[in-house]
Amino acid sequence: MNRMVLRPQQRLPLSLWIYRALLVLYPSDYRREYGPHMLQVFGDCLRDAHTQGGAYEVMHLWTFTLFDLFKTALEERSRQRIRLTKRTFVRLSGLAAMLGGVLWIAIIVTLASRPPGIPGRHREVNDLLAEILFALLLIVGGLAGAHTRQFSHSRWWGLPGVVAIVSAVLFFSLSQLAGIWQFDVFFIGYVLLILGSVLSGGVMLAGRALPRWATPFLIVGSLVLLGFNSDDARAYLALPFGAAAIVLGFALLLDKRMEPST
Amino acid sequence: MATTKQTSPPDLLPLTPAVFHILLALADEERHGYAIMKEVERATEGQFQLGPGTLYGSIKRMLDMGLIEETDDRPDPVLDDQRRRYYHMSSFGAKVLKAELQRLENLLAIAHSKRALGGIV
Repeated sequence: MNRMVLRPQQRLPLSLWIYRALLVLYPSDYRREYGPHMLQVFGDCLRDAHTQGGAYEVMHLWTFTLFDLFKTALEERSRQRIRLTKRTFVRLSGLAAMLGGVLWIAIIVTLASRPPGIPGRHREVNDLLAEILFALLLIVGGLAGAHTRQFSHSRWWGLPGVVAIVSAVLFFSLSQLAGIWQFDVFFIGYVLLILGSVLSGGVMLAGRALPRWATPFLIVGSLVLLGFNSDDARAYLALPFGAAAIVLGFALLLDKRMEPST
Repeated sequence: MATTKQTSPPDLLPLTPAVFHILLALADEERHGYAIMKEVERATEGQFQLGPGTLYGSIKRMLDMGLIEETDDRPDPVLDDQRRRYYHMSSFGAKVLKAELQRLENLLAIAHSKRALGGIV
C-alpha cells in the first residue's frame, strides 16, 4: 500500500533532510522537544503541496517555511538569551558556507547562460554584484567557523585569509564607486579573493582539524578561479569555488569531532 | 503550567494572532499540530497561515501559560500516527479566549459607534 503512494513523493526525503538540518538553528532543548513534531508537520505540508500543485506549490511552501523558520529560531534563541556555543557557531557557519556555495553556483550559471558580450564589450555582470557579495559574505561566515573550529591548532594563522576575503568583498563594493578605475579596483578584489581562499585552505589543511577531504577543494577551486573570464565559457571555471564552499560547509555541519568549548 | 494560578485572563490580552487562532481551532475539539494548522487555514480561508515554527513556538508558550494541555488519548493507530501529540483547550484557556472575544466585541462596538466611519463597519 505504502509503495503505491511513495512514487510521486520522491523529492520528499531530500526536502525533509534539508529541513531537519535547518532545525539546528533552534536551541537544542527546544529542538529535542519539538523538532520531531515540526518535521512531521512539515512532511504533511510537503505531501499536500505535492498533491495540490506539484513543484510550484513545493517552492511556495519552502519560501514560506524558510521565513517562518528563521524568524522563530531567532525568537527562540533570543528568549534563551542567545547561548551561542562554539559548537552551534561552527554548525551555523557550515550552513552559511553551504548556502553561500549554492548561491554562488546559481549566480555563475545565470551569468554563463547569458549571451556573450558584443565584441569589444563585456558581458553584463554588474546587476549580479549584490548577489555575489552576499554569497561571498556567507562563505566568509563559513571560513570564520572553520577557523574557530581549529583555533587551537592554527591560532591566528587563519586570520589573514579571512581578512583578505573580507577585503575582497570591500573592493568589489568599492569598484561601483571607482569610476574609470572600476576594473582595476574589481581586479584587486579578485586577486584578494583567490589569495585569501588559498591561504584559508592551506591553513585548514595544515591544521588538520577538519576532515582531510574537505579542504583541498577550496584550494583547487580558488586556483581554478584564476582562469575565470565572464565574457565566454570560462565563466564556468568559477563553479568549483562554489562547490568547494558547499563541501566545506557540509564538513562543518556534520563534523562530530568538536573540540571542547573554549 | 506555571502561570495559570497567578495570571488572570485579562493579563494575557491582547492575544497574538497565532495564539488566538490556535485557541479557536481547539475550541470545539482536540487536535494535533497539523490538524490545528489546517483548521486555522480553513477558518480564515487561507488568509492566516501557520508555519511549523510559529505553530510549535506558540504551542510551547500556550502550554507554559496553561492555555492548552496535551491529551493522553491517542487515536486508533489505523486512523492516525500514534506519535502525534494531541492538544485540547484548558478551562483557563477557554476563559482567556472568552475575554479576548469580549475585548474584540467591545472594539467592534466602538468602531460601530464612530459615525465618521460611515458604512465601513
